[in-house]
Amino acid sequence: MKDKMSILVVDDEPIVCDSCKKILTEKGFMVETALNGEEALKKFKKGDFDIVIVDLKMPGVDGMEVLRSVKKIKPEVDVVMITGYGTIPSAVEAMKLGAVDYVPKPFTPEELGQIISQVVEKRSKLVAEKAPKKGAILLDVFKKPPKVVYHPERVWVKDIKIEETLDENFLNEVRSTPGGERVIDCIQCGTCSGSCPLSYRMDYTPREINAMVRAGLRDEVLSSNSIWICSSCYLCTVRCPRQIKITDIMYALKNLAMKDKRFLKKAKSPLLSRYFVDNVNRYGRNHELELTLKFFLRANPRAILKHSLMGLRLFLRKRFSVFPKRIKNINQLRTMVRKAEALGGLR
Amino acid sequence: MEPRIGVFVCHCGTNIAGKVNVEEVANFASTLPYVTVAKEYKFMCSDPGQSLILEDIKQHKLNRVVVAACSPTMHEPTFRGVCQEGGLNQYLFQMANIREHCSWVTEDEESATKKAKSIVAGAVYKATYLEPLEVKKVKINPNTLVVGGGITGIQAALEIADSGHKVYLVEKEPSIGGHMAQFDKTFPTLDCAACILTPKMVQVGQHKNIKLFTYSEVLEVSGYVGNFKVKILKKARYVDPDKCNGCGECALKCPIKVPSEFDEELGMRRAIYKPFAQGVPNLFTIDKEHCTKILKDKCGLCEKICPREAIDYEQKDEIIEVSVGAIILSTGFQIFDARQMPQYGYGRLDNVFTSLEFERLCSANGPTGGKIVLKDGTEPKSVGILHCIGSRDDRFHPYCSRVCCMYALKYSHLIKEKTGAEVYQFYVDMRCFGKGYEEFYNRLLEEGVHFVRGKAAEVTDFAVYKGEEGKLIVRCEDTAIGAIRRIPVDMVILANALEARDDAKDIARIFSINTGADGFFIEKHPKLAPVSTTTDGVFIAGCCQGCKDIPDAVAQGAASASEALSLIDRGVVEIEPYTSVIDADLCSGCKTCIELCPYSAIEFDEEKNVSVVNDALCKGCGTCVAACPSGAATARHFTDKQIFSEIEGVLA
Amino acid sequence: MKYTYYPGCSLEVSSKSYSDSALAVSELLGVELIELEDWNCCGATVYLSYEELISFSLCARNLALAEKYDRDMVVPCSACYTSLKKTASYIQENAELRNKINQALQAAGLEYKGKVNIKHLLEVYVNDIGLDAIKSKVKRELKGLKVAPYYGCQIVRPLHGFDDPENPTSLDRLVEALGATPVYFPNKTSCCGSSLVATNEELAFRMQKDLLLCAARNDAEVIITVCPLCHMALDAYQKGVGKMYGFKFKIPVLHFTQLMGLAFEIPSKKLGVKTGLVPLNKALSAYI
Ligand code: SF4
Ligand code: SF4
Repeated sequence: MKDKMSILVVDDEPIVCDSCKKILTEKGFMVETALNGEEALKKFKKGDFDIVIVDLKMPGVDGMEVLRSVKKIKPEVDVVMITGYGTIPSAVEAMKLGAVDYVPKPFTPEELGQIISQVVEKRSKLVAEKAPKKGAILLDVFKKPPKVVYHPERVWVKDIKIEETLDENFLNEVRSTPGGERVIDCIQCGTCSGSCPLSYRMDYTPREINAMVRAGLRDEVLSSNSIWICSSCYLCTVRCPRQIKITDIMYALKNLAMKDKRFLKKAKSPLLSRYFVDNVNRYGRNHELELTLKFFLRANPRAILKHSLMGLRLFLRKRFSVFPKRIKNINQLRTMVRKAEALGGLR
Repeated sequence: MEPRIGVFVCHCGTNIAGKVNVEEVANFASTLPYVTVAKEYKFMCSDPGQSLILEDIKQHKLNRVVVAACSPTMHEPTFRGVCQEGGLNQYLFQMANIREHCSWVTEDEESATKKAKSIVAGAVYKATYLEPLEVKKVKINPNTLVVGGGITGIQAALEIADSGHKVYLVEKEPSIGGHMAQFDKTFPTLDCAACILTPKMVQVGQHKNIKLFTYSEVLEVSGYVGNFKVKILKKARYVDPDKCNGCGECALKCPIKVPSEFDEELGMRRAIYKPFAQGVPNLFTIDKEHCTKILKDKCGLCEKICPREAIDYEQKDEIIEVSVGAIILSTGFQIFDARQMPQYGYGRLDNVFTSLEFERLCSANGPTGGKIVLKDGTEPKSVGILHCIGSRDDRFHPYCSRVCCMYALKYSHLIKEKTGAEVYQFYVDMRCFGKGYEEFYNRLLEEGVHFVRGKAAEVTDFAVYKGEEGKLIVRCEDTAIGAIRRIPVDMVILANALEARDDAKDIARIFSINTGADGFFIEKHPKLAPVSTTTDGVFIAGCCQGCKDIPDAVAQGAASASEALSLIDRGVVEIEPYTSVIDADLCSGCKTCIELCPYSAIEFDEEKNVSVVNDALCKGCGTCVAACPSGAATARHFTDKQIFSEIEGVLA
Repeated sequence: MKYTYYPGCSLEVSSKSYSDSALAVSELLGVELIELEDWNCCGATVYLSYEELISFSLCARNLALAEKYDRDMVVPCSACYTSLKKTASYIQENAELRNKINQALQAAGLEYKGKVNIKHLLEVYVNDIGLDAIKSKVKRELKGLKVAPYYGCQIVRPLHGFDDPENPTSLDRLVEALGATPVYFPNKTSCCGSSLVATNEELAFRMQKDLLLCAARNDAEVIITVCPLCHMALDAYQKGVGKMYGFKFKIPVLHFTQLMGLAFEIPSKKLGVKTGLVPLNKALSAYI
């Protein structure tokens, strides 16, 4: 890593450029500025920037285009959007395109500083993660240690939890789902997480999830990988000494995350769920071939070759059917699904 | 004489006045029939409050008193005393509960005040018809029965016996000593359990005021406070206690080996046995379930060997009756059967032990002579102690067993001292609340015990990683470091819950006391009457009342002894005169009541052809009153007239 | 004995051999399985993750259809079993859920009164038919065959009550009744990870590795499953798992009904024992 990170600030208002430069230089960054998109891209191609801060709305080449180009040229560069009043939806769009964060205008020096330091921290964490781990505690006996394929999409930078930012209603949301009622009874013994076959890879263990639900950390919980890693094996549920139905709580959280479209972009489970739901709504039953094809085409096209070999072997044993089996009274099922949907779910 | 009623409304600080407009209630009371005076005051139970009532009794010539305050449990006796001082019969007093029944349980002030008024009116209406009653005085039998010869019962028995009163101590097992006799050391001082217990056991055995019944059970209890009659079953031990001197020749020769209960089945005993060397009385006992001579008339070796001819295969069970004035129950606990939680492998995986098993392993008089060893005889190099097995668990026992954290610390120390093994504690919370306990925890921290915060999820022998082969692996979430861990150990000790004995319900029935949802006996008041029960004269102490450690159990043993002694030394008991009376003129002699009375308190006078209530036995339950077809039975202090009037008052 | 049969989507195609063998074995045991007319997908874990109410309603439709007959419903797939059973019990326990589901059903002209009794196929064999009856039908004892009885998670959890959730024994006892030997298999209720295979292969493979390793270490000659998903996880991915961890696993995986069928001497073709991806080994071929 360079000892100083360099930042490119792009805004059509010179005063914003200047004040950003001042704030960030004080914080020890190398800062350059550009007053429009074209200039910015030119400078970007020449320089070696780590972070680009760019105004969303600019005449000519706008922020969105800068973002696209930057990500195309150097995907590892982090882009932070500056947004004005009323452009929040586009900010969300920008996040989807790969921006790491956004600063709403007007902002104070502290706000800018905080966001940038979060970005910096995340960058260093990722770099650290890519470096080979020294002396992992548990050495698998078998020569080949599993490949770590998971990377959290969004790293929550540790900070003081301000009461104001907590969501009081989160607990009620969870408690109003069948099985979620007893989340308040948790004594934090950890039996659930110790039993869970997958908790070791979760951002937060089931026990922590319980505590976070109670504390109102809605954002962290719903965008954590925990809920998507849960395989629904119910071991936590049968072992919890307070008889808390943790698996059901996980389902409630998955539902909430789905509703909010609040999941890791790389988490594939939501996608699988989506296709499965389409499948069932269409035929009344699951058509395995269609589901698999659709899912892998989108989620992991490279794996299709590997899976198609297995598919072939299954096919040869008559274990794959090309045609879906549709139930007879599919209309009845659809009416029911529509009605249930109209009832607005369980909460 | 026309009733002259005084009504006194208490604020109870803000407890009542915070919700109820007491002034309004007092004003309202003064409008009720026969009310001569009505007042309110901050604390009626205080000295000034009492003198206020006293003065009014004198000044206004009151002949009935109503106090509207808290529940009668606490202060009815106080105000009755005031009435007596003022020259009134104490049963001309009526209490109206406007705290528990009203201010504490009503949200809205207006309805609280309204409700308080109805309650007061009910009391006033009832008071109108109150009648003077006389308390009965009954002589108290000065002997005490103690049931259960563990440390608690031993303590209670010795305290009473030392004061010069006679004690009958009944113990189910062949020896007294209870669970404490199984322990090696005691926390937090680490003094040896046997060293402090054995002298006390010997004292019990030799005390001239203690009559010891071991291998015995209480079958039946009748009577009432001060005058209980107790039937004790003395099981045949097939050994003449007067001849046997405990030499043990017989057990050396007995060919039948049985897993020893005292050693938690880790060692063997013979069919003729003494549970442990220091057992009191120093007698051997034949276990008739296993003795082949008794089962099939084969063997008879012990009879041939005994130098004192003490063996008697013909001995029969005996039933003995004793009379006592007070009863102390100290029947103890049992431990939770860890087989109910298969994930911890008890009974399936070798080297998973229960707490009591470990005590025996550790004890110098145990099956290994105090060596901490695995099933294969080798010393463990690492040990995991799993807390809260069956405790703090809604599926089994929601309560905390209160002793496990501390004995787990004790085990850690003993293991380190004897084997130098690494010790891991898997705990949810460390609860070290007693004197010297936190210091003990600190000491163990310094001794290098690994404290893993997180309840163990499972114990498995399926090795996956290096260093796990041939070990027991404890899987858990270490909540302190926020990671899932697999910790391989050689030995696992389960800190299983203490629980109420399987026979607790039967015992409770015999002694007419109650068990709570957790199965333990219920005390009269958790804070102010911790060893009394709702049955007068029956006290409870030690772990039969709830989980506790030795210091607390001994304290309760002593407390129950002092309660019993204070009862006995009164010489007489006063019995509430709330009994039933049967009007001989109205009684048709149908005997309906005799069959129904749960206390067998009604006898039939053949001569006069009427039923008669025995005041000493009647508890005033009112069953006969409700059942009597001729309306001849009345319950004193709860007469029809009084109750109807009270209802009228409430509805007025 | 007559039962309403709910095969579930997997048994229609990818695990058809489970269905075939179940039907053949049942017939021999005098268990009549009558397929539920026009049943639909139970929603599985995947729909439940998406929308709970709709997912519960999907199960409720099946229950409503099944309620028309006065028969217990038998389910061979553990995942379907859990979905249906959980729905049935939540409908009983939770008034709000019941109300909403009823509205959804009503819209489709259906009604569920809460009377269907749901059983797993294993439960029917072990408890309703009984091991003695099964033993009496054994024509060829599977003497000495070392079987890893794998229950998986959903059949015993959450608290279905038909067997212990931590240490179930019904399948072990069934294996013994067939004359075979159940091997020590401490992982018998561990999750197979099949719900993660598509989305997080690494995690799923790690779980499957442990299961296969445990079976291999205890010299199992065959693993039997009571759920099509477990079967798929251990059979179809066995090679891949071995590759990832550097093992050569070669343990054939059978549906438990296939093993029963072999002991009953039902033609192996009918049982579809050769439709697994892991080839049969010597120990098993002896019975074919
Ligand atoms: S097992 Fe239950 S009580 Fe313990 S941490 Fe998990 S949810 Fe909480
Ligand atoms: S149900 Fe989910 S959270 Fe619970 S133990 Fe299984 S995988 Fe873990």
